[in-house]
Amino acid sequence: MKIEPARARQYQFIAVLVTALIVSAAYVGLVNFAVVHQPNQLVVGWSDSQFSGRWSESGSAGTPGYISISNGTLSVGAVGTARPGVIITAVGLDLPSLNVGRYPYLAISVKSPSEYLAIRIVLSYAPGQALMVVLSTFNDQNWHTIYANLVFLGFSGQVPVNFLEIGWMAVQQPVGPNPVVQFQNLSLVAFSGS
Amino acid sequence: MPTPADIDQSVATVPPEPIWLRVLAPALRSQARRVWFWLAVGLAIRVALLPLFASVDLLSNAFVTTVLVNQHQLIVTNDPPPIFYIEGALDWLFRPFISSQIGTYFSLGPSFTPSSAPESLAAQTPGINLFVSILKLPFLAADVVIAFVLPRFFGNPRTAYIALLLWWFNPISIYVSYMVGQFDVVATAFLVLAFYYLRSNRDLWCLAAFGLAMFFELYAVVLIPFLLIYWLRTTPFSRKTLQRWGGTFLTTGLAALGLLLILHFQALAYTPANLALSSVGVNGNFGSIVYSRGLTSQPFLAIAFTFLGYSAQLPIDTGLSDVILIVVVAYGVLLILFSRTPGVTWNDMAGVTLASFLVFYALSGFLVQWVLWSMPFLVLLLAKNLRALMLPYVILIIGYFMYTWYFRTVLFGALLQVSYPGASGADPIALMDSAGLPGLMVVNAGRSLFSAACLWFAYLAVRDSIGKVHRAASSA
Repeated sequence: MKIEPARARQYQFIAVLVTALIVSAAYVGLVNFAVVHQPNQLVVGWSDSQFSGRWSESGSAGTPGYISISNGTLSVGAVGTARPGVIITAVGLDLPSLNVGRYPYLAISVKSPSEYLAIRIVLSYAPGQALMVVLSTFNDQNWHTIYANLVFLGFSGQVPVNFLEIGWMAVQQPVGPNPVVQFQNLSLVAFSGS
Repeated sequence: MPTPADIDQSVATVPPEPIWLRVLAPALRSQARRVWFWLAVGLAIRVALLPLFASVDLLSNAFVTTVLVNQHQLIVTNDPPPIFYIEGALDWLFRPFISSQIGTYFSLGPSFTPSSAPESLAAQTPGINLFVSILKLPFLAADVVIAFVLPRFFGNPRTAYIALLLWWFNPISIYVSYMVGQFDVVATAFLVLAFYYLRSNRDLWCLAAFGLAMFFELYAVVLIPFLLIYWLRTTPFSRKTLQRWGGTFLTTGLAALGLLLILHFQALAYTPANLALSSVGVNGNFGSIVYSRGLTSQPFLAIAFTFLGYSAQLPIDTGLSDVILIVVVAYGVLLILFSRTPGVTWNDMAGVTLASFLVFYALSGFLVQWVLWSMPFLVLLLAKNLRALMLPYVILIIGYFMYTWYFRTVLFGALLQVSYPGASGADPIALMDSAGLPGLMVVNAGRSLFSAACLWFAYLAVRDSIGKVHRAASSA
């Protein structure tokens, strides 16, 4: 079968375009496979899934608070309505020092009943020295895992723990009655490859 | 003398132009071979960059896109949402090829401090090179549209050819779209189309393209006053003028309405904001408040305030906390100039558009991707007299890239993080400092030269309009 020259050139043009497309896709695919990435794996350096240290409740005056630990869940709650600014927290003592140099992320799972309860975590690394490492709200009532990069926040090497506060602060609007925030799986982790 | 039948016969026997000629601007068709050669070279450069580079911003947009596809929820950011639907469609289409590990970090389950941590982790995940390539495909499409439309502004083959090359090998547009991975080229392509239709008096197409430009990025709104003046000054006031004005308001309203409808009907997703961070690190929601770079914001207004907030300011010594925003002054001067220009032409409109962008860059801080908006219009100016304008163009390009160094690792070493994690620490100012050079002063000097080049081109862009005003004033 003989193809007329004009049509043949049209086919040639389409063939060149298709070839360019295939070569481009092959190149991207090749780079995608050739560039070496370390698959990120979560590596746990230390964990206290049972909140086994000494934990006590601390909170704002005028708003009774409580903590309870059951089946690996730390519950931090208030009795009555929590007005903006109210802080209820569990204070953990006797915790081991944190090898932040190797495991930079302080991780904890949280479940908050309101977007107006901000999760609040404070790390005291020496008497009179403390840094708030998380103050964050969540807009749903699902479990979330917080990964706070302690290196990003200025820590390095082995960090002694004078005490650790895990709790919440009411923000913007009153929350109640009897709000409770749950925490699980306190740990220090790294992402291998990162 | 041929009869009508003979003419019909002869027309019927003329073979239609092949497609590879028809897609080119008429002025380029006589040089199709070399045009296609350079198009292929430019395409190869772009394809080569696709998988190798990505900024944190592109990876943030990947986060928004992935959540949109997986959870059908939109994370509200400073970027108008339409681009995420295009990116989402591509994500969905290519999902079988995209590594599921990447999605581990681009989901709302975990909350990271800093909030950019998931992007950093995803950047080091196998499969990320393909994913960022897919996300850049709309930029490539828009880029190609500009390359094919820009030469159509010229009837002279040589000028059209130069315009094509100036766009297709423009280092700023290549850097912004394929290395930083910003989507500004999409709205810019619609703006170029709008000007193309404006020039050929196809009002409906012009307004549609203008509306789409505004839909994808709000910056095109600043050109609306110029467009209204253009409609008013190019034809005697008539019903058609009113129709054009009405069409302009309608298009602007539809673009705004489209964005509002998305926000109203689209289920939104919220990212937790960590207020324990330093100011600029706070992004997301704290309670019901949206934070953007440490500031509470309305997502779209935040762009406008960023735009103005970067402007150089003159304090007024009145006891009031009063300032003059230099950018607003410059914009006002251009608006007055354009409204006073007798015999306004399409060239004046293109000139005042280019000048508006350039004075903003010259007199303000700006995000590096914003310079792309002006590049097609600068090409229109340069192509006509490249030889005389080459030096300030080179200064502008060099000064621009020195300005990017203000953003330190973010727009330097970190762009390579998807290909080479070890490169992310490179900071050009620190490198200069360590070499004994005053890094910041060098960058400031480069930025100043960039501003000078911008102001020079802004003057050239409106020189004809100024001349007309001057002549009119002299003859009055």
